[in-house]
Amino acid sequence: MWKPIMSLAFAVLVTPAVAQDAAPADGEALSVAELVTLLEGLETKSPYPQRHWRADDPWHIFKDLSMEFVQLNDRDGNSVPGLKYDYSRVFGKVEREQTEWSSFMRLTSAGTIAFDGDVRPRDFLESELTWRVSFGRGGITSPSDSARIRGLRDAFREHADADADADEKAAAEVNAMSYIERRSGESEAAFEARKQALSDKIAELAKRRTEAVLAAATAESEAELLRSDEYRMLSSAAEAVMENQWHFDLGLHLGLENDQDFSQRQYTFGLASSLEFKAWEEQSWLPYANVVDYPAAFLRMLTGRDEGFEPGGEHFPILSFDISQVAVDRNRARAGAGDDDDFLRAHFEASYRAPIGEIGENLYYLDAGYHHYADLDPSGAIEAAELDDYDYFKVELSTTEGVFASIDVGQLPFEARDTTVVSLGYRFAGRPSSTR
Amino acid sequence: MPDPTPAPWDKKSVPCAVTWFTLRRLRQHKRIFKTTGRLKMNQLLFWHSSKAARDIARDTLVDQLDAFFTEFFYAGYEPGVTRSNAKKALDATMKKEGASVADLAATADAQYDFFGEA
Repeated sequence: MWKPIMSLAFAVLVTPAVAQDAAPADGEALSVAELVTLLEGLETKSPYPQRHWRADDPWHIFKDLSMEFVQLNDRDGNSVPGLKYDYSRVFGKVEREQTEWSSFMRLTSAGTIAFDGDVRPRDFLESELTWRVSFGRGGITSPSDSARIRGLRDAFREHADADADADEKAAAEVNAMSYIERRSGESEAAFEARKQALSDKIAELAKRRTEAVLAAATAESEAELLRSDEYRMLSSAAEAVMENQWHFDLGLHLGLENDQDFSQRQYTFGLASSLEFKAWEEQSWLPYANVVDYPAAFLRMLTGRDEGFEPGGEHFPILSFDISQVAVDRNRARAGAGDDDDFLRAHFEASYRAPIGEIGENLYYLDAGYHHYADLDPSGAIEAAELDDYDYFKVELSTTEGVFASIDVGQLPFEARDTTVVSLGYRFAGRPSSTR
Repeated sequence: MPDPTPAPWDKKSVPCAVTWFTLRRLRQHKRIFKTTGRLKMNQLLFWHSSKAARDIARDTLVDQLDAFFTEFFYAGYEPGVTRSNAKKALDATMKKEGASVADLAATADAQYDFFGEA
């Protein structure tokens, strides 16, 4: 049933966006193979969004939709086609000047569909509309944060008094002048002159840093780059203005969870939040608190990507949490247990990603995800069926060509029991990687 | 119709060099300039396999790219471009799994007025 529907849908969606010489003859439905050819033709070209989608283009509303044909393996090891889709659109974003707060709405939908109904990738399909208020702090300082600039001004003044190099002294002067307001009794001319002096200092610093980055870009090897005075100056200057970074958001969400043929689905509504932290400050102990990164840090040392054992402050897992009222439309696992009423559920997710090595052009990453689901007021039937509290954990080793080893263990919504799947040499991406 | 022209990757291009350094400083990669242009978005650190985490990581990375361009390299915005529009443009490129770092630099070039660029 899915094959002709998806073929027709993609013929309608994709045909206007591809070269005329790849378009099917009038009146012909596209086969899956022809659609793959069309999309492969797209994927070898530069996906330069502004050049693809014009505001008057009738397909403009799909500009935030990514689709990819993939090859999936069934239980017998046969390749079957599938479709991976990912839609994400932020709208209504409001950023409050002079603060670190913002709000936004986001509509997302993602999943993987196998054209053969007997092959069911474990990631079930999720769609969500969410409204969040977010707070972000740290990283490189923002010009709107006048209080932080005042603090940096004082810090740079102390640093400039030490044996700092020319760039840091210039930066200290600029930052000392960044928070600039007209002083009491100061004439308009004097105020304008001070602002002009600031502008000249910024231009001087911009020139120095631009020349340095262009020089650093000429390095022919990592060793040469690390020896480069220009690169070391830029790195030191960046380090001086970066703080540990926090992002936190909280809001409402409305979601739809379903399996691939929509025979099972449930709606969710509730509160959701997320937290991201990155430890940017050098000479800090915080990266060593990231024990999740220890295995990857050890592999990075073995593969030579890092010189020593260096857990990454940028590799802290991203955490998400939601409490939702789940309105069950159809859930076979819960119905089989004798209770498919609506229920209140807590869901926690931790997502981790870190590099483990590079060999030639291939980058190797370790991705891990953990989910915990808990029915907050389970009935006896749900408890007896062990559907009240379950986990799902997935680890993937991936490279440029796709996932080459993965383990996923546990249970997802709509599943009645734990399952363990180990995949080796599993080619997830249906298209060859393109190199430039 | 898709644009068949690959985005340029030139060590004499200020947007390219700035994009390379900024992504490296934000630990998205650990490469020298000449091999960075062809990296795809799904080869950068922010591309979590979890979509929810990827959206969060991308949002904060866009904020940091904008801050680095404007507050470290003191770039301005091109005429008619606001900070919000520039960040949306960066985000749109970074959403595409197959977009390259060269594509991202081209987006930055279109949105930001870097010091010394031709």
